[in-house]
Amino acid sequence: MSTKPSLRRRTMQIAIIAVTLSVLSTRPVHAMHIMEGFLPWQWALFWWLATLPFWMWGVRRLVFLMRERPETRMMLGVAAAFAFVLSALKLPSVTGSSSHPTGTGLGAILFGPAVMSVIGSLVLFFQALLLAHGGLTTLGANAFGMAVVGPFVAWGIWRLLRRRSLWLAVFLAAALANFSTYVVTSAQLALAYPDAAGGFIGAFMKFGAIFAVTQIPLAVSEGILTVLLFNALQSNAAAELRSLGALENVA
Amino acid sequence: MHRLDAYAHAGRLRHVHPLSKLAFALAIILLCLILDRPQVSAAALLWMAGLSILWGGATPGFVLRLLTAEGLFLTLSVVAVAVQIGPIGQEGGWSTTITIASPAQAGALLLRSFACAAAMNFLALTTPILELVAAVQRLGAPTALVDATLVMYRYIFLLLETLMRMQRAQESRNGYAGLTATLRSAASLGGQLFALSWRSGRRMEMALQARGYEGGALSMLTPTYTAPWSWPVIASLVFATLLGLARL
Repeated sequence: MSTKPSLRRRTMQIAIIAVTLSVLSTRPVHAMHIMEGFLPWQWALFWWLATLPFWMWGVRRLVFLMRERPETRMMLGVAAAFAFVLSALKLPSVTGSSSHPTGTGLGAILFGPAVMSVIGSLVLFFQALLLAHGGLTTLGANAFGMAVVGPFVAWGIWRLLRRRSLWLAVFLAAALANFSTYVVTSAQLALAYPDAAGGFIGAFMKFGAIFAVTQIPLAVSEGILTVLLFNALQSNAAAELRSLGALENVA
Repeated sequence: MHRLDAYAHAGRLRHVHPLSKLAFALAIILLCLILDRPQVSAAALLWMAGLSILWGGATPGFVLRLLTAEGLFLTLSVVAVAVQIGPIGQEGGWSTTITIASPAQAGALLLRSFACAAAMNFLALTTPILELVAAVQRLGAPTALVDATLVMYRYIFLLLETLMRMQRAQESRNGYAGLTATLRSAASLGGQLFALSWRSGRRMEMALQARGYEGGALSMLTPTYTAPWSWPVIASLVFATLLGLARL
């Protein structure tokens, strides 16, 4: 029993260290990416293989779209560039640093999850080579979180709620897409580095807690931003939204 | 971002074939991951950072800045590996401890990630992304994807410039003073930018069609690549160092 107070003290110390570290890293916070070399090669390979079917599905869908509507040929590249540049928008964040939206939720609403799996991966590839953020061996794992699970969550929520309340559907789609990416990344890190005593659950809680400081407020602010952005799109680019089919069956 | 791209275009290794640079960087990354020894990672980190500066022609300050930014993000993730959470004692309460093995594991992990990041920085600093994509196309990547990448690359810089101009205009009108204003400005900026990029994409599509483009690969000028004798020598020297250190 005598060890309890010291353990509690240590827990506190570590919590304080984690929070301080998060706050001190005042460089712009991007979406949570796994850096190059962080995953053991078996896991890197596993996530590449896990994402591969979604890429194939996305590319097949794109080829079909291009045959159907040839004007989408250029639009894919333009949309991907837009998604990349969107991640340069400034968002206020509690930690004092500025953070950036991922655009995953908006992309899934506009283009659907199949196309988004390709666009999201292209964005990750460019982030790795133009911003030195993320990586090539970890591209599979990052794409699984940001270009597969995130868009699927967003698209599901959007389909489910768009008839009831437009703003709520947009908000939840964007916020939960961002949030699910963070949960998937934490799970990927925990699977690769399970805790010696706590196992996967312990490790998942650790990784989750460390990134929660930046990622949960980021998810909320991305949700709010996307609602405002969608409103702006409705007034600025209603014709484009309609041609994408994003305004069908909405409340 | 512009500087990284500028180095890629103006670096001394521009005329080495992009695929050989990609293969080299990937081989280093895979060696670090598979061998997974701290001494190998340390050597790879030194080699790749050194080669980026001495061979690729990047300034030491810029290479260090890239690594620092990556290091901050890495440290955060590594903390979670050093800290262990688990059931303590018989009561089954959960607690946080730092075990003896975990700091060593975390240190090795940090070093390995750093080495791999340095290898990727080497690739990013010496190889223009478009040449890399064009080279990958010859290996059988889908044309639709390669075209999208080419368009994307061009548009990133166009849109970024527009975004910065709009942002500056908003900032000069107090657009980012306070939370509400920031969100509102960011949203209207995103909306405008989307409309703008969409229309400009349509115009480009029309312009290409007017000139008889009916799909298929967009052609681009590929520079002539040389095969300098120093390339295989240095590459095998790096591999030999890493493999030799792995035996220790």
